[in-house]
Amino acid sequence: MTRLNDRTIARRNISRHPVRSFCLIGAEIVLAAFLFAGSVLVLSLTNGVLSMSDRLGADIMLVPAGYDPHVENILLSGKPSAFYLPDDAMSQLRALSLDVIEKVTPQVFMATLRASCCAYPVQIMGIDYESDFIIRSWLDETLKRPLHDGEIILGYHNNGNAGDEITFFGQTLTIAGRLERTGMGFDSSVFMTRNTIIDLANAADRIKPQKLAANNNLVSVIMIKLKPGTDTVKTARTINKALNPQGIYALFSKKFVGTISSSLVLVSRITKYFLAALWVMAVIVIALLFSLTVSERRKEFGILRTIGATRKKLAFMVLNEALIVSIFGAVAGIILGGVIIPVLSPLVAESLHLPFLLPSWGKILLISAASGIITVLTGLCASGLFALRAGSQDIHENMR
Amino acid sequence: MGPSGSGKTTMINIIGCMDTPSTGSVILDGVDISRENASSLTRIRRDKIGLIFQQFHLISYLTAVENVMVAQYYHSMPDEQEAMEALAKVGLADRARHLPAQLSGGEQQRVCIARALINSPQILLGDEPTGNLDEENEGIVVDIFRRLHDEGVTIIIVTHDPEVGDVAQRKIILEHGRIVDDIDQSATFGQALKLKSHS
Repeated sequence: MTRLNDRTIARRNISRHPVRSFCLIGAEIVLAAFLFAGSVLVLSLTNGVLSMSDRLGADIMLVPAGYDPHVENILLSGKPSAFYLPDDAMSQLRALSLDVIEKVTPQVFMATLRASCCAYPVQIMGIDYESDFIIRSWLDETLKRPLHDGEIILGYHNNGNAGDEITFFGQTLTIAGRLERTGMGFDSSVFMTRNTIIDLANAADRIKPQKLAANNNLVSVIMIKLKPGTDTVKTARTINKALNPQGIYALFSKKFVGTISSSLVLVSRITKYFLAALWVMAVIVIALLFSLTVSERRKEFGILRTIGATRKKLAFMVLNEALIVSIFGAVAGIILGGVIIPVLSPLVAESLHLPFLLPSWGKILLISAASGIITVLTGLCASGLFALRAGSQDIHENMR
Repeated sequence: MGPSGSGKTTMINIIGCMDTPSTGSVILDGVDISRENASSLTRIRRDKIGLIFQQFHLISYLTAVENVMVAQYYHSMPDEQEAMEALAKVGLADRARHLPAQLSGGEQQRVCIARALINSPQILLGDEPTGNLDEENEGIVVDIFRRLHDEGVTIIIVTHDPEVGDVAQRKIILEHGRIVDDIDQSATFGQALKLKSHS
């Protein structure tokens, strides 16, 4: 049985003019895909930065003065780097007798090489198992046993499985497990005990001299967790005042995140301008396509007017077509955006050196719904003017 | 009837409420349509007039039956069965699901006639309805007009084909927008129709 109404007439028109419809749907697909993927990308970068201070686990980090960009590289992208605090950094901190400090743990960093001695170049973080509070809770919950010497924990993105063996500087190590995704440089790092990293440093010293091999007491950073309610900024200032002259710099995580946030604001602004420009372009392209369509269909509108269609009916028919095309375009665009995001996000995160953490499924659904609604409304608005123009000319003029 | 530029199509357009006269008045079923506004003209056209064109003017993306149903839709309510009966009346029941591009010129014109008649108009207006048809299809279309006339439909046809002009009850000759002759053919009407439809 054939049903005929405004919607079926619009559907027939769309399906029986594939080239015209493909161009219109194509413009809507591009708009929806970029709106969706762009918004998810910006939100993921924002998410990554905002969650960093929580994921870092420490309120203050002591780093060698002038090495804060290296710390950023390690924490944000896991870019291999090695640097060391002065020998007595731990004892100098203790000498301050700050009763607001709850926990302190040192970490020592080392970078493997892109050479036959190493499985792959990676940032190695040697933890002090007894005092660690950065990955210790994960070890207790997931590994359910201490991390032994000669074992490593992989960051989320590294190759290898639990039980596999891996070689760095000719030393064979066993993979004990893999951390959950953090969205930070931790995902590209490898964790091991302090004894293991010193063994590696001794082995690496034969290839390239290592400071850590010469002095086994060196530490790269000192992570500090403060007691609840403590003023982080004030404590960092106190430490800086006392230890800056010794080449020790206290970096508080909120400020650290703040620095990253300013670069994120720039990225976010550029993305917003890009999306706005894309939207304007999409409106122009869709409006232009509808304009051409309406001009091309003058005779059709004339015929429909002769058989009793009012101008209002014709406008409604064009809007119906725009609605169907826009819904198709929006859905296909969001699916395309969903395909683009996993491909594009690691590239963007890597090139911007910013942490990346996808929003929750609920938020992604909300963004996809918003992108879809904006795309459909854009299609309707762009076609609206031409919908009103449909059938506005004299019928006999249209029929010529 | 009349030569090109004599005003035949303009007259059909005015009677069909698709154009308005610059001077004078046109009374259609007691209403001066020269004074009506656009929406009122749309209503009159929809309710009282059926239109047939030389170029057929079917909607290219709708099938034959849908082309008939679309006229029902804008008039009242589409009824597929009724639309199929209208197509059967013009001998196209088996071509109902074909698109205009899949139909011959004669078939397209018959769909156009079925569409023009579907809402039972008081007046059927044809602008050179046989102008694009071969002799066989012209005969079929004229035969359909004869049957419609027998059923009481008023038919006004513009043509410059003397043979088609001869089958009318009344023949008006136009030149330069003026009536130059008005011939009553009632006496020979039935005979001429038979001759035409059997030729």
